[in-house]
Amino acid sequence: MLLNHSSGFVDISTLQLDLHCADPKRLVSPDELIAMGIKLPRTKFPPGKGFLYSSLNTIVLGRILEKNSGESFDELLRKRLLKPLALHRTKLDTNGKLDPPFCHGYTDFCRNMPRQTDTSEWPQFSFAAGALASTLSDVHRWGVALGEGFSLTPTLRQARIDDELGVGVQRAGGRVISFGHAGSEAGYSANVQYYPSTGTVWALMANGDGGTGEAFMAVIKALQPVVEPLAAPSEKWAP
Amino acid sequence: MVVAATEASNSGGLVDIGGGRKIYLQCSGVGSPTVVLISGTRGAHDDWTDLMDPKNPADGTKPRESAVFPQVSKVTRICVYDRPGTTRNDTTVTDSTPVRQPTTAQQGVADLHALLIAAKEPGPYILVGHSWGGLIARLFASTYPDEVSGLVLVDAASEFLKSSLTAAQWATYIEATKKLIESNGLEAPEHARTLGLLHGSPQIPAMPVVVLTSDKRFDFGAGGAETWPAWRTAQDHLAKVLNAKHVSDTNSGHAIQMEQPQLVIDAIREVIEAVRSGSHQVARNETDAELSPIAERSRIALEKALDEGFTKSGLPGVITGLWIPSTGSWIASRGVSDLKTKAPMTADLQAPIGSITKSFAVTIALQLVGEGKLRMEDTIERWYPQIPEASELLPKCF
Repeated sequence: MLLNHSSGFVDISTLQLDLHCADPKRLVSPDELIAMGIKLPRTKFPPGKGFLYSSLNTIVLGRILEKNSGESFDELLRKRLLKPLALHRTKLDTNGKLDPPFCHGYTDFCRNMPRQTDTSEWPQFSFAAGALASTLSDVHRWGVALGEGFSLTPTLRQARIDDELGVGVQRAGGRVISFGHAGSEAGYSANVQYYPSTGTVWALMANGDGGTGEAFMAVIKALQPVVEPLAAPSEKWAP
Repeated sequence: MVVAATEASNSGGLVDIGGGRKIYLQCSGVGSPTVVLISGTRGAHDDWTDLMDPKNPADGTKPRESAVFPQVSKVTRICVYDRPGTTRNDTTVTDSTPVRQPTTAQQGVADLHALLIAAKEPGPYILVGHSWGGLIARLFASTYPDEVSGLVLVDAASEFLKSSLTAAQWATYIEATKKLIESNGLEAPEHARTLGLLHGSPQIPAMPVVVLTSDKRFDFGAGGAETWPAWRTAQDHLAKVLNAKHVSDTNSGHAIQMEQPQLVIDAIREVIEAVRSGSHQVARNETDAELSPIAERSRIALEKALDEGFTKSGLPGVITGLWIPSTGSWIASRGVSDLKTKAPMTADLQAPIGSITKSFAVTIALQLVGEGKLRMEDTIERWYPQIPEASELLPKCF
C-alpha cells in the first residue's frame, strides 16, 4: 500500500550522520542526498514487495510532492498543516536557526568530537523525512490531529493505520494500542503516540542521543508500563 | 489639555475620511490598546451601546450602562462606528455617506483603516467583530498585523462555514446573501468574493483571541434552523485555527453582545489583560484547558518511572506530556535544556523532532491523494527517471 517504505531504498541514517560529523555546518540539499542515496545498492526485494525503513523514501516523497503541486514542501506544510492546526512554533528548520526559546541538543554520535557536542546550530538536511523543529505543546496538538485523522477522508484515515503510512502502529492481540512516530537527530530525540481507545496523546522530547539513540529508549521503556494502562486500559479495547 | 482633547473626541460625530465621504464614529475612555467594535451586516454603532429591557421588550432598545461600549470604556479607549448602509435599531439609516453596494470585507478594512487614521485614533487595536464584522476584523488583522494586538470574534462568519455545509446548503446561503442587494443603498456584503480574497491573505500573527459562539439555533440562511450545527462546526474550526479561547456555552442567539453583553465584556477584558501582559494567547487551547492534573496516585507512579528512566538514560534533559481526555494531564521534565545556563526543560522550547516530520509529509501526500491531485498509480519514472527501477516504483512505495 501507500507510502510504506517498500521501495527497497537502503537506510541512509549512517550516511547522514557521517555527513554531519564530517562537517556539521554543511547544508546538503534533498537532491544531493537523493543523488548520494540512489548510488547505494538497493535491497534485494522488488519494489513494493518488502519493507525497509529509510529516510530516503520520505525525502523522495517530499520532492515528488513539490514537483507534483508546484509548491515547496515548506509552503505545503505551512498551508496544509501548520497554519490550520495553529502549530505556531513548528517550522521546517533547514539552516540551523531554531527560534528562541529553544532547547540545546548534545550529541555523542561523532567520534571525532568531544562528548556532548552542542548541535543546536547544525543545519538539518533530512527535509521531508526529518527537518521539522517543534515544541512539546505543538507536538501534543499534532498528536491529536494525527490521531483524529485531521483533514483526511475516513478511508485514508483507516488506511494510514492499517498500512502504517507514515506512522508506526503498536498492536496487542490484533488491536491497535497506539500509533505515532519517533524522531532522532544528532543531539535530539522525540516521540509522539496517540492511543485511539481513550484519545490520549503521549509526547516526549530529549536533548541527547547517548551516542546510540538508546538513551532515549531508556526513558520510554521506564514510562511505558505506567502510561499504557492509563492510555489504553484493557477493558476499553477488549471486544 | 489631554483631558479636554479626550472629552472632545468622546462625543460621536461624522469624520471626513476623504474622497467626499464621511463615517459616523463614537469613541470614549482612556487607555491602550484601543478596542474597535465592528457590527454585523447592516448593524450600526448602537448594536454595542443599546440594550433591550428584558421586562419591557416592547419598548425596543435604549442606551444602557450595562452595554459593551460603556462598560469597556471604563478600562480602555473604545470606538464604534457605522459602516455605510447600516441601520440603527429603530430602523433609521446611518448618517455615514452611502457607497455602491454590494460591498466586501476588503472594502470594510480599507474604510475602517482610513477612519481610524482620520480620527487620529492610534493602534494597537483590539478588534471585536460580530458576524460579518468578524470577517472584517480578521482581514484587518492580516492586512495590518503590526496594528492589531488582539481579537474578539462574536459569532463571526467565516470561510469554514463552506466546508461544514453541504454544497447545496452553501449555495442557498450565498443566494440568501445576494437577496440583500437592493437599490436603497443598504449594506449588502458579498460573501463569495470576500472569501476568495481572504483565502490569499497572509496568516494572522499569534495574538490573544476569544471566539464567542451562540448556542441557540438560528436560521443563518442556509436552508433553515436545522442547518445550524454547521455554524457550530465552523466556529470550532475558527477557534482552533486562531488558537483562540472558545466560549461556546453562551445561552445566547446570534447577537451575543445584545443578549449576553457581560460575556462579550469579559472576553474583551481578558484580551486586554493578555495584550497588556505581553501574552500571545488568552488561555491554553481547550484540550489543555479542559484537563485537570492527573490523579495523585497515577502522578506518583509516572514521576517514579520518569526518575528511573532518566537516571538510566544519561540524557542532559527530557520533557514528557501525557494528555488523557476526561482523566487528566501530566507534564514533567528532568535535567536541563542548556548545560551552560542549567535552564530547565519546558513545553515551549523549540527543538528538532526528526522523523516525526515523516508523519507530516505522509499526511500531506494523503491529503493530495484524497483531493485527486496525486495518483498512486503513476510510477516515479515521471519524476525520477534516473532512479533504478523507477518504472516499477509507485509513489505508494515510499
